[in-house]
Amino acid sequence: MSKQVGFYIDMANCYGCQTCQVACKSEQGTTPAVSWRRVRHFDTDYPATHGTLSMSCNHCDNPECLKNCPTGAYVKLANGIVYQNHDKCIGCRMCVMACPYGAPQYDPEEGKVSKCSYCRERIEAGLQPQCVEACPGGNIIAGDLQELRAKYPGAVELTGMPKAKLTRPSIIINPAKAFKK
Amino acid sequence: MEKKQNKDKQLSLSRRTFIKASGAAVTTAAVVGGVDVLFDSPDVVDAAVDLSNAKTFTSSCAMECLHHNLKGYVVDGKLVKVESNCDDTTKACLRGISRTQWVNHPDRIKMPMLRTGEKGEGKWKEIGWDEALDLIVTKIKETQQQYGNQGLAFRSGSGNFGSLTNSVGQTFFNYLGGNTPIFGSLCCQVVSTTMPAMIGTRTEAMRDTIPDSKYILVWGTNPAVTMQSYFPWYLDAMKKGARMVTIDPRLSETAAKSDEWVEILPGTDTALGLGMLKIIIEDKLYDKEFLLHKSSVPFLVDKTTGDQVKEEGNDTGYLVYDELSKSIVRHDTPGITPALSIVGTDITDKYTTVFDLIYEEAKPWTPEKVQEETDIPAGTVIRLAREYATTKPAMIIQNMGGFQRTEFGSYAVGIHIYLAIFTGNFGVPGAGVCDAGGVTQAIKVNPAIKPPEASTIAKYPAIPAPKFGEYILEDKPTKINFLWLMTTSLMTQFPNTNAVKQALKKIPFVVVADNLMTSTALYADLILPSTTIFEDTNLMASIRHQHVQLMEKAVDPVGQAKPDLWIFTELAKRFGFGEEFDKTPEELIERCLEGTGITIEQLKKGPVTPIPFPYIPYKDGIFKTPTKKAELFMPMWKEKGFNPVVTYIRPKEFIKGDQALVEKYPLMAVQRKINRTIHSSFGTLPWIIEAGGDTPHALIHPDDAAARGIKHDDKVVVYNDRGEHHAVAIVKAHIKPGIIALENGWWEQQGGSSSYVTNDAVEPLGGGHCCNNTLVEIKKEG
Amino acid sequence: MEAWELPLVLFTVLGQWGIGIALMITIAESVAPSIVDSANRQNIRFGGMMVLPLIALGLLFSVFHLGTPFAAYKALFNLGTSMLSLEILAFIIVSALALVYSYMWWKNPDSGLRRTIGIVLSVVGIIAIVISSKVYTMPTRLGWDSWETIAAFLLTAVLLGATTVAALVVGNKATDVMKANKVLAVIILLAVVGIVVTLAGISSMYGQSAEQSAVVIGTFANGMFFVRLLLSLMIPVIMAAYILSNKATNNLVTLGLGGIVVGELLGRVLFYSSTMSQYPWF
Repeated sequence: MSKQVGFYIDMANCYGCQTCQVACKSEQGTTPAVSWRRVRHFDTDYPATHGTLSMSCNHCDNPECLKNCPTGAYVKLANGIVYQNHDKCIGCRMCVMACPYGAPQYDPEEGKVSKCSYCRERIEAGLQPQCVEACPGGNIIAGDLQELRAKYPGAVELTGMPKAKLTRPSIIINPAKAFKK
Repeated sequence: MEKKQNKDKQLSLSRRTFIKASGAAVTTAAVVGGVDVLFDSPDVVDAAVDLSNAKTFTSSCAMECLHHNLKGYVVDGKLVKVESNCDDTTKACLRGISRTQWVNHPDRIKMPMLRTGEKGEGKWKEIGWDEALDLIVTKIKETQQQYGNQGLAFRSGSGNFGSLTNSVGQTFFNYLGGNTPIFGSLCCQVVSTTMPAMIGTRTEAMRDTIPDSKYILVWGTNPAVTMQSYFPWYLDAMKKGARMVTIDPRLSETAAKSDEWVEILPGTDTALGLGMLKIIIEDKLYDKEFLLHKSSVPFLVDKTTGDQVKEEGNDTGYLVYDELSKSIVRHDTPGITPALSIVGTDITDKYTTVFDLIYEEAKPWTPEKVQEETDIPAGTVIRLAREYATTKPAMIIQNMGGFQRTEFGSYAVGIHIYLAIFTGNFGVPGAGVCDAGGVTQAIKVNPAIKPPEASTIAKYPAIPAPKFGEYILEDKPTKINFLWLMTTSLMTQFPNTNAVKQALKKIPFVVVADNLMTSTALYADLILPSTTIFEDTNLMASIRHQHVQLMEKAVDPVGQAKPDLWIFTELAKRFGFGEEFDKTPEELIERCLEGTGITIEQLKKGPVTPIPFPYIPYKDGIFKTPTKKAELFMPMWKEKGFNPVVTYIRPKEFIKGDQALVEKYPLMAVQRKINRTIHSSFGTLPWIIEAGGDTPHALIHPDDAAARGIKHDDKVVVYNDRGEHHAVAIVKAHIKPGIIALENGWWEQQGGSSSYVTNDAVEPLGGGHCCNNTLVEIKKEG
Repeated sequence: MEAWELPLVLFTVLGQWGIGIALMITIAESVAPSIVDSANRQNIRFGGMMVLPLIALGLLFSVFHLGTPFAAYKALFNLGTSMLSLEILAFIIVSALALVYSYMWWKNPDSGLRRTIGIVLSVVGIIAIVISSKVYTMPTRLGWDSWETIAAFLLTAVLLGATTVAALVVGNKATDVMKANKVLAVIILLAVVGIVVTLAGISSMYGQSAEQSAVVIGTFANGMFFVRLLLSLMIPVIMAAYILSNKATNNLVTLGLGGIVVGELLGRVLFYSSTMSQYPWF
């Protein structure tokens, strides 16, 4: 198994259809309070630009969720997935406060937090995460982070995004036009 | 050329997924930090589903979009998950995937429902099918006795393109002897009248060679949303060096990806096109050979009659002036050099040419005049014309866009075709005027039910769809006593919703066949529960998809819901003409496929693609008109009293139009599509509401907002004399000042459609819908 | 209102109040050993006995802020890593000490052990407060990751503790108690200065990042802030002035205390809401 899996997010070619967002819900059966993957908008007025960035959990190298959780519900698996053992969650929401990316989300009905699991069960069955599978543009790619970074040039943070040095997210983003010089 | 594949496809989609349930609790209520889910969470298992014992079935996402092949997983007789299926070149989207929640929606209509209170009150009594069908028979017979068959009206829509759906309904009414039609597709009526007349057909897909285009002119349409699954091919073209320019009042999702966004006033596209054509003609940037031999522009027009001149008794024997022999000959005479213009010849007192007529209309449109009318800078007009004409191959993306839902949309459709013809941009990869297309461009699909003799079907004057409200209220052309609606929701889609509402209330008996309590079902007298996809067997062989698909029955219908086919079969039997209807879906599907070379057995194994890839419509410039040439002179327009070649007529409900109206309502409203719905379909599914919100928004420019004290996220009301539309303001410089963008598809129960304010004029040349020439005002609410 | 995080506001303020009382009783008693025997003996006993209920009530709120409160014990399972785990442990120890302390104030106020427990509780309490503030100084939470967070938590304890003890013993004419009162008044004034410096520190965050700027706006542009200024800054200064000029009465300072408690609650609401109202930060 690889040491750290991650996501390549092609923001330049993403057109914000939100199929990834709904495919994740369809796959994981998350409740209405929770969307593990969300599409963020980057809009400017002068000049008028519009960009969309899909993000779930970045399975960080320095996961603040894991560090701040009082029950030890989060573990970093051998392949780098930051995985939540859902039964251990007591709903204190420290991870919600700690994550710069808004990945862990609280369900008031259940009284617990959950987040993207990189479709761990699908990965173990030799499949791709559902968001990767479902994206009509093929704009989300999962795999070994080093390989992804070698293959796709890009950024780990953009203006308006959290600073990557804080948690060292396992992502590589192909920035939208407006972010390229 | 290789089939377009999605990037790094790492998985064959035919593998089953094995997911262990992670055992989360089942939720009941649903309040999400400010976003209320309006309807109860459907009874979907609230965890990653265990699919190890699932059976799979395939169907097609049947409403008006791209009809992706879908795979449904069924566990214990229940549909638990839907995914995009088959190694297709494109994938289903958030809507197709959310169909699990449609089939299982707790608000599915389970029994026929008879109105007990006032229309719109929402008071119903459940009745059995026998009672419902008997009642319908009674009402039809009463109508026939009192008003004749013209008292019957029927309208189906784009909710389901299955072969056993809409056509079955119309066939039923044909067997009855006919009905008053409600005529005109809301989306693209003027494309249907203009494009086939000019080039022989429409719905011939140009999508396959988009990646080969070097200049993509997206004109008043938004493929990043409305054709989303193959929008990556546009981006592929750009990666290969193509320039993409979008003409739109709004910074659409497509414009945001384009190299250039050209802002334009709604309804002035023809002026821009004529301005471009003027430059192309005067700078001699046209493809002369193409014009001479593949188009009708050399055809002679009689100055007295105003008609094209034909050889006696020969319908395609149009005459041209041969420059070599200096005589008038048939256009298809070999070895001639037809003249484009006959100015300076000795026949100009009697004749002119189509080319000359076209140039006459284009000539006044100097770049400055175009700027004055459209607000596009003169320099941009010149540059667009030159870029389009000289960067080859160039494709105009038309795609039934909003630009033609304007008061003279036919001319706007026409000018696209003129530009492409004049520059020889047809019949080669990467060129053309892109329309949606599908399998019917390659195969002829028969109607499911054998139709009755044509002579037995009375032809009654039609109600033009945009004017449905007004005509019904005035009993024009006749009193309608009985209306059947299926696969459509007039209350969200037809313009001037208040008039539509009054009309529905007035018609004494309205039957709505649907599977949810839509905005229109609210105003029915009798609701019949119909089935959704995955609940019935159907065939997808229509005009928007590349693959013929068998739509499989995966689960039993909910409650007493029945396929539309069954409903009409039962009624047909009661009227004594049930024989042709009373067959199994498989038999009828075979009837549809007869002669196509495709069998059900093949379809059971997977979708069949009858279209070769890549498909190039009108290859080598051979058109499907009687003359095999592009016929740019439109006798149909002349018959209606209009200029038979494209000209610009300024819209009335427009910022430079009726000034008394502009005083009251100084903003132009355009309608946009958003990715949460297809028209009104999917609008109430919980995943869609979570992803796409539950409130309509109105996009307004910061200048216009500031002038009205409106801030981003303020509640606003958009209004004019027709009605009001309540929305939340998006204040961004993503739209041309003076214009606001409203969203199509919102249900009554979600605040009401933007169609409450839209123009219900009927486009005079083709019968189209003019919603994008609407004047409104907007104010902050409360 | 969800961003106000009321259960956490109540947990932190009540807990800090209780610890502050223990701390200030310890300080007052060291300045004026006769304080327990003085005319305010019942008052001081009352103060000491209040420490447990305040801390216990605070803990109750903290447990019920959890989504699944009956699993609260699991919060101790990540002691090596999670500051919150450590805080829970610290507050369990504080509660145990508070239980003994308040019980002894009730049953055996004159015992030397009671004084010792008071000193231990004060020290452990301060440590617990610092730990609880460090729960929030996460590097990823830019508006909270600064000394101002720690200062604010400590200053709440000092201000509320000093004002409470002053309310209990002011008006006592015994010389050393009057001296103790003056010490308390000076502590109150220093706490006010501390709060002003902390607020100045917060305002200087503006412009350092989008999140920090939003925290500054969310704090200072909020209507609650002006009320908080009046209650947590003006009232203590007035109280201190009265105490220093020997004009304060128990009732007056008690009244003032009421206002200051509300002020501190508002201040804590602003602490949480100025950050949490921005969720999700991306």
